[in-house]
Amino acid sequence: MTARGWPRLLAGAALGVVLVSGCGEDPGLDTAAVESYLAGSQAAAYGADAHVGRAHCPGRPALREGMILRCTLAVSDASVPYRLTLHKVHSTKVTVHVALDAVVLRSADVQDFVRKQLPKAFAEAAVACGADYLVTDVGKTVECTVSSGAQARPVSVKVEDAEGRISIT
Amino acid sequence: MRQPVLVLARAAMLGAFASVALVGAVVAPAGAADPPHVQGPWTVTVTFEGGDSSFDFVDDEWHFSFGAGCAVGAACTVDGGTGADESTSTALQPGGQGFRFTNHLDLDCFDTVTGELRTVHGADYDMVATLVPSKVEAVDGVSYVTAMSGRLVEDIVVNPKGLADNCSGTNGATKEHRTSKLAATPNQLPAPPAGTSSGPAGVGPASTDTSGTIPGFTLPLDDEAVRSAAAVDAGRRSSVPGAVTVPSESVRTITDRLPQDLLLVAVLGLLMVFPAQIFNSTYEENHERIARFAGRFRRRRRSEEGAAPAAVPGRFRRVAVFVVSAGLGTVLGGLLDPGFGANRATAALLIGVFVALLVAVAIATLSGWTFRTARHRPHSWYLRAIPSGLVVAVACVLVSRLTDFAPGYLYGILGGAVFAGILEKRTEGRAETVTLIAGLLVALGAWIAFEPVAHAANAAHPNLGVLVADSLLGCLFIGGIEGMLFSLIPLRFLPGHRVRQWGWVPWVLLTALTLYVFVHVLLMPSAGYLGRSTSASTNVTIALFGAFGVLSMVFWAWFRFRPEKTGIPGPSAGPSDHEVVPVAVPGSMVAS
Repeated sequence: MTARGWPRLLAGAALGVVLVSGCGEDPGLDTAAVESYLAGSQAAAYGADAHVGRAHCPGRPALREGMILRCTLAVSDASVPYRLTLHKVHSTKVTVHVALDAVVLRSADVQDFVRKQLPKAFAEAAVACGADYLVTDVGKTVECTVSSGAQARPVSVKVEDAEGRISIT
Repeated sequence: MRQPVLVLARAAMLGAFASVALVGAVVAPAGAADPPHVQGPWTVTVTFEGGDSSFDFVDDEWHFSFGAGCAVGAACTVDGGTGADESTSTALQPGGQGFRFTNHLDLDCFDTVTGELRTVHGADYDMVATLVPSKVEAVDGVSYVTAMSGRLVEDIVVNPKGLADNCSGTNGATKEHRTSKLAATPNQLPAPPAGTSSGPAGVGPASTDTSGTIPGFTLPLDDEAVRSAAAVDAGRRSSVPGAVTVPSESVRTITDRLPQDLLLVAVLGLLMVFPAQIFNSTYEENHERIARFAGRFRRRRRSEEGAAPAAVPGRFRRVAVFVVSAGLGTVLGGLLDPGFGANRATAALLIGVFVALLVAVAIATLSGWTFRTARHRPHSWYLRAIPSGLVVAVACVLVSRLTDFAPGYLYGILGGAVFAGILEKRTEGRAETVTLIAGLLVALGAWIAFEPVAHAANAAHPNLGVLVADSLLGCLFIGGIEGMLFSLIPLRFLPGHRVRQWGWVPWVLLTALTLYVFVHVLLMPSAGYLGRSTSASTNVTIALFGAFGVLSMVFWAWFRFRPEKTGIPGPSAGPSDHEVVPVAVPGSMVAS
């Protein structure tokens, strides 16, 4: 090997290694599998009266360890946000941690709470707070309407904590 | 004698009012065309209009609760009463354009002086009230009554029994009549007072937050690969044959993957050639120095070049050592499967690996024997084991498992046939070529036969025979191709060197074909390893070949920059081409 041959050989080998180092293939994120898991895992979390529909995880992010996916799940007429964390993504079994990414109030529970706050004579008053499931957050308020006959009155219900405790202030 | 007089008494009421369990019958929401609804709590004010004012049975203000709502013109029972009796609910009947309700009381006669009861049910009290909507408001398509008005008519009549006892009113009359005006308005809806719920009013993290597993992400899989992955996941089939792509799928993807396959073949080929070239030339130039260096660590070194090999050990011992080495190699081969354990798949794999080892030795021996016999060369042979090859096998298993390379590196020179007699350089190159071609043909033949067997092994309940055949054919292919690959490295001590010495063309053809099959089918299969990543194993393979290059350069640099101080002149003529060295053949065996 000559003195001039060495650098050429080294450069050629290095270039070749760089070129082929990305030749292997990695499976990508299978959002359909994640969405299916999310929908399945939440089927029992909501009441029997709730219709848990399809989940949707937007985008096609690159697969990486500990990645966080923000997905939504159709629950009755609401779109409930979730935060999914994926671990062991290159393993034969991928671990998925599902966490609610909002406070989800059951409208019927909120209405019951508001109605119980009213005087007994208005126990049959109608309370409307919107969709069956209300997606909100701690510190935010949910606007409801109390009505009795032709009378109506707005009521603001504040979300006190992540567990879903609420108050009328 | 004093006359008994009529007094107000409500002791005996007759059934104009009946207790009703349901108050404010729930009605379906009505449209604007439906009759208006009265809903919620109401207050009815009673204002005297005319007639006798000597009695006052009802309250001046009534409180009715219509609950969820009553349709005007329909029967309805509401909470609350008029005060005429102790009833807490009032049954409303349809009346005119609104509601009508009545009440009846039996009145008793008492002595006004002594207070003594004189006549039971001596008079009758009757009231009739009507309430008609006076104002209606539509909200969201539903009509609600927002005001009602009406009239209350009350009558007291002393009946014949009372008349017989001279009952009369306080004014002495036996009949009294009065009318009142009724005005009804809904109670003002109050703002709910402040308060906090005692519990969650929704779906909390406790019920939604969860952890679980899903099947690992995979590359796109063809139908057979999907079945293979399922069979391996279920533990029915070993991952070693399971990760081998069947020929039809490999052929289908040839054109799709040709550029990157060829690029990788070219780079790996260069990494095989140049480092080997450097190593060999360095070895040849410094052979004497290397021999002296090695001699210091070798207690019993081989006799001078060209001398007869060391005495051959006894047959029983040779066979025993070979069988033990092959057995240990089989277990190591089995450890390539992450699912290794006490199960049918592992049993089939172990049998398959062991038989594949024996077949590989047989093929190598037979091809060598046939060549030598046909060329009228000495062809007597004996079995020789190389237990130290297990170290290489262990390294291969470790690398495979650490990089999730499936089926993995099934390699490690464990032994094989050693032929007596030395061939000249060109003849030896031909002999090696014949042996390697035989090994390649067996490997490719096993792969072609593998497809239907793999299909059967992916079935729900494959029998052990199918699983063994599956492992055997898979291992013949894997071990054959990988053994060929390492054997073809043109390093001085490997068959590839002798083939290359015989001719560049056969070496290039054999190496290119072997490398291509290795890259396309084993290293970067279109569906990965059961759909898993191939990046790590590809990079490790490149790194291994790169490390070979680096070591070769280090080897060269050692002798280039550390000239011998003993004063021995110049490079030596190099070792004899007739040196007897072990030769690796497909199937991880040795022939010489």
